[in-house]
Amino acid sequence: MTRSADVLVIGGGIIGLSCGFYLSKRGKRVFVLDTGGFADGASGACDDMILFQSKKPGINLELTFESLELYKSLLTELGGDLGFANLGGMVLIENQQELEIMEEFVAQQRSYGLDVEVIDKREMLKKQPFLSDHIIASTYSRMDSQVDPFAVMRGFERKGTSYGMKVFRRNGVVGIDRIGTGDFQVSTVDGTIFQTPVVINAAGTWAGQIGAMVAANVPITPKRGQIVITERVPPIGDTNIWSAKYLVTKLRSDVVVDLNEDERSLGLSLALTRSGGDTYLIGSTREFVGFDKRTTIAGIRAIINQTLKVVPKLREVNFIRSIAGLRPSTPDGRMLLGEHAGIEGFFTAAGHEGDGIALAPITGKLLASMVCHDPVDQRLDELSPNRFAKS
Amino acid sequence: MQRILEHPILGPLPEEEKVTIYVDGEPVEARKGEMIAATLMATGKPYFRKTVKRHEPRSIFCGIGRCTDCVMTVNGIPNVRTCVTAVEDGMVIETQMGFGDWGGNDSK
Amino acid sequence: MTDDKDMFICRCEEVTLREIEQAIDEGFVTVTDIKRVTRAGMGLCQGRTCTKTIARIISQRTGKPLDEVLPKSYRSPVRPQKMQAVENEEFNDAKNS
Repeated sequence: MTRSADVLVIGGGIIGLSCGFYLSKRGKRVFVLDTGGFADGASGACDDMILFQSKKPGINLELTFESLELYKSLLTELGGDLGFANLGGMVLIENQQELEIMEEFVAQQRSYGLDVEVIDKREMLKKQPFLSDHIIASTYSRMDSQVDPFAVMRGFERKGTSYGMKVFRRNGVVGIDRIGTGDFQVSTVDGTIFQTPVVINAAGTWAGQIGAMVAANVPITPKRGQIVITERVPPIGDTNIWSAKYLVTKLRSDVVVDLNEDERSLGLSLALTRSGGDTYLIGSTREFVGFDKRTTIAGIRAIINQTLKVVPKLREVNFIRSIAGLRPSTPDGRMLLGEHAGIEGFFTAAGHEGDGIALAPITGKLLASMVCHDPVDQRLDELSPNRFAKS
Repeated sequence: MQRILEHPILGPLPEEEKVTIYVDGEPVEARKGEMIAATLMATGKPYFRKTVKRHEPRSIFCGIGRCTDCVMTVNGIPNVRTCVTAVEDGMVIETQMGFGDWGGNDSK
Repeated sequence: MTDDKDMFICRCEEVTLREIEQAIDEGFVTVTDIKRVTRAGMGLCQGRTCTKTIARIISQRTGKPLDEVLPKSYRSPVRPQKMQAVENEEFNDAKNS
């Protein structure tokens, strides 16, 4: 059976559903396809964060500001509280080297308009009384926020459906052809063929495979992140917590940072974030293991060991689950957003690595602008998928 | 609910050392080695905790350590399954409201 | 006034039959789908109490066979572990599945 659409979105994660929502809001007849169930990709295995502090000044930080504003209006537009919370964030500093580098970074971020500061140990302990004594200082930003990705996705889907969008799960794409009229014909597992002039590749970690179907180079590599989940406990301090160590290695590749075995082999870094269910999601690793979504004893042990060094009080708390997600990472740390040159009508909106939740609304909105031929936003040139085009 | 003092097959309840546990600040006599939930059922505690969302009372459901309905805060540690945790002399047991609090000298 | 639909299916997260049926009718038709949109199965017992019941509800409401509806895999730990357990020898010797 053949179905016709104005736009076919391949990938029903938070990015795909955001694209579908913003496109159907603009009057497009949109179908969204996913090979798996609800949130089977990275959207269902992440830490819910809209994090400002990890971003270097530049397009990612700029878009995070805009995306946060969109989330605020989505609270009304989609209905429900979307699990939105603004707990703020602190990046913990453990030595003098980190302190100097973070002070410099914070100054850069402030000049870019981010409300963030370095606070001393005394101020830090007021916000986080359970921190280990060896933490010497931290940053603090009231901007860092979070949402419940599942609530957001369900909201995009409900509202998009009211505009005529249709979502088909458990039906993956097996091939994409072009027919005489210029339309794409997208074949799927259950035999349905979708005919459409516009295809959006929002397949996240699997976007490279979809790109290959039209000979588009989409260099997205899975980067596994493991997360340990605790039982429901009272809040630990006022904010969510990250550690400076990993951030420092990213900011200053010229500086030698003393990493332990786990930090080196697992790409370990600390993220301690409170979920909407009042549990703590504790991460995380950065592993290149292909498409392997398993959690490992080594990963769980490393994550917990680093956490107990920083918040020893958690020793008595139970962890009840571990999960792993595959971040869609790109060679330059920026998403692909735009139409592929030479493949008219084929757009990619993928490659958000660890910022998919934060950037989902702005991605969908900008993608819809592109598809609807709004005046070009020059800033987005650096996100064009053509930067990876093979000649 | 009563302890079974005379069982038709197993016979009379054997003599056992008594221990004292503290339930919401009140001392309660318990049989050494029995499960906290058993002591609380025998002494008529109406509920062990109130749920997080709707603040509804809960005590035993499965009774075999699987469902986590019976959890209370024991010696300052929340989410302890009372149906599979034995009493100890001096144990401090508190009705858990929602997910409890950090309690003691550590609270802010 | 409460009716049968107000009964809790997931006791840990206090999710009612009504919420689960509404989610099924919106197209969330596996145990994992339902878990993600309602939190049923995310609580302290990690679905030990509710998973089989939710699977049956979905199967009855959609006609899908149970094996299409139940989760395909399970995650460690199999029961709650204190965080400090990672400091024990046994934990370090544990093998991955």
